[in-house]
Amino acid sequence: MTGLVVAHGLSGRADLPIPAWLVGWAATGVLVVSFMALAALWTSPRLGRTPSFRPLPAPLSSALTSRPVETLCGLAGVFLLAVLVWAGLFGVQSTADNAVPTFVYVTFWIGLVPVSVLAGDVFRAFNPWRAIGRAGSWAASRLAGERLGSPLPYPGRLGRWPAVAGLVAFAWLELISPNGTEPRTVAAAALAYTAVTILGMGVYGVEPWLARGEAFSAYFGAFARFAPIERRGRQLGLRPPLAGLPGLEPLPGTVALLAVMIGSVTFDGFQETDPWSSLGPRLSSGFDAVGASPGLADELAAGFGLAAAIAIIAGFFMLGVAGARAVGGDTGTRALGRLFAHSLVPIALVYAGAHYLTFLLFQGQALGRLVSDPAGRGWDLFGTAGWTIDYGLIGATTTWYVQVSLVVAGHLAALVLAHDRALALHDDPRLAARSQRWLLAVMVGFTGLALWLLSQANA
Amino acid sequence: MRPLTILATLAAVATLTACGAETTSPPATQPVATTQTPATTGAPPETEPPATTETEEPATTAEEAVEKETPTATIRLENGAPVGGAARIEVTRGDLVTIRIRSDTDEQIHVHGYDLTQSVGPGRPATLTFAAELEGIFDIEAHESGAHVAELVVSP
Repeated sequence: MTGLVVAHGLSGRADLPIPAWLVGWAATGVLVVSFMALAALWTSPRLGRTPSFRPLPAPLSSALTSRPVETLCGLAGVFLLAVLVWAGLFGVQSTADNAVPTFVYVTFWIGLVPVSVLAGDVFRAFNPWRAIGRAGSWAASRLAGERLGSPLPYPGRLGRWPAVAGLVAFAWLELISPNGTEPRTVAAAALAYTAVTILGMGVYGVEPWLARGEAFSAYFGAFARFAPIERRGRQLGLRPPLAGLPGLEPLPGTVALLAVMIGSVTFDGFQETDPWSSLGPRLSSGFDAVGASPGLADELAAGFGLAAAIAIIAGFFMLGVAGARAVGGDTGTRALGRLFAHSLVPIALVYAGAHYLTFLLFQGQALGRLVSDPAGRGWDLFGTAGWTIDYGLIGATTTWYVQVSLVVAGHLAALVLAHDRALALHDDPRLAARSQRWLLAVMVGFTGLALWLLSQANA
Repeated sequence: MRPLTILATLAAVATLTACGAETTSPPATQPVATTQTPATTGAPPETEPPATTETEEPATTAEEAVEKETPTATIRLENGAPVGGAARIEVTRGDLVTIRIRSDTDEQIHVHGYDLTQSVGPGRPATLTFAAELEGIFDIEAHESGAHVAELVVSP
């Protein structure tokens, strides 16, 4: 069939669209429960100000955060990156038989999200670029004979914008680029990203760049704020649910970062809907008419769709923030947006969770086969090369209930976070509640969009 | 604006389901036409046949009973591409599905998820018969041409 190239070449089973009645019940549930939540159950800020922290037993903490463990994790990360680049460049160029596309788009990008939510910032421990950066700065200090600082301080106005650019590039590669699932392309992109990250760390210092500019640290780090486990220095401890999220620093680019996280999933879902199957080709022929080659026209049309999805998410959120600001207070709209940006993290989580649930459960199983033969050369390193995907793992009905529950729970968490921040900003609880009507509308809108996308899949 | 439309639809859906709640709560009893009767056509006050809008449930079960037999789809390939575009084969879980394929070129037909493969060629039509035990949407492909032949939709 004609039409745009759908870059998701990995899926073997697609989900059935969520039936309308289930969507209706979920939407009603969100409306009722959120009005109740606003009604006065929560009248003083409870999150964020003095987050409680129960330390884990000292031997466990110091073992997990010890130098040898850190070094081993870092080495494992670098080793994985090297294997992937090797398999991508020199292995068989097949999306299904080479481990690279499945590892990067399923195991890493999607699979590491639930791991971060449950176990904390695991990516930070295994981040290959952090290991490379730390090794580099250690070696440079040894050579110079003194501890070296970074050449330049990280510019405050740069904020999270480099991470935003990195995530947009990744979304382009995954969702739009016609070669995005080709092992060689993914490996080349990984090498290019490694170069950019080393440059960033070299200029602004390892930790400043990782904390703000590095895309995957920003992505997984945001989700890791859900984890019950928190790290303070070399001490690990437990914290209450949602208590980690208010700590998301309101740096410039934070709203954009979350808009990209939500918008890219939105666009991925929107690509499967009827409106896009009529709009996409029309956009594409429009670009065709102004001189773009057919392939480029398709990419531009999809790029336009992705940009529009991100802009709509960001715009809708900022509209709610502007409404909330109208209640009073002397914070500017953009600064206020950053202060409420952390409430978008649960939404980003459930958009990704609901959308990629079965993709992870099914395509994730392919990893068993692929680790034994990462480059598609007929190897069987671990005796798992014959594993197949069990598509009976989760039925359609269970999938629907999990997806809908995720969407509803995520938006309730968002509401709680925004409400708590409003209480912290306004001394008068009534004023805070009034300002929250606007953000309630935003959350309900995001819920509606998420459920609509799930009810439209392949309809 | 888009957000507004979403909000409006959401509100509409919410109220719709709130109304529908009454009919769903007594599942075992005969579907009573309380909510719907005044709305339908209006004119005759004491007609015997029940409101057609309410008979959705018995209708689908009857249809299911017929479909339970063996849903059959016939696909014809010319030059590796399906005539009339990729078909959508909709079945219910547990159905015994039969897919007949004819092709004017040599082809390997592959049903994803079920991982069934069958070769066809000129004068050698293929028949795939299997129980649809996995729910979801599965692609059916012709491996030689790479064409998307059909989509198998298995509902619960």
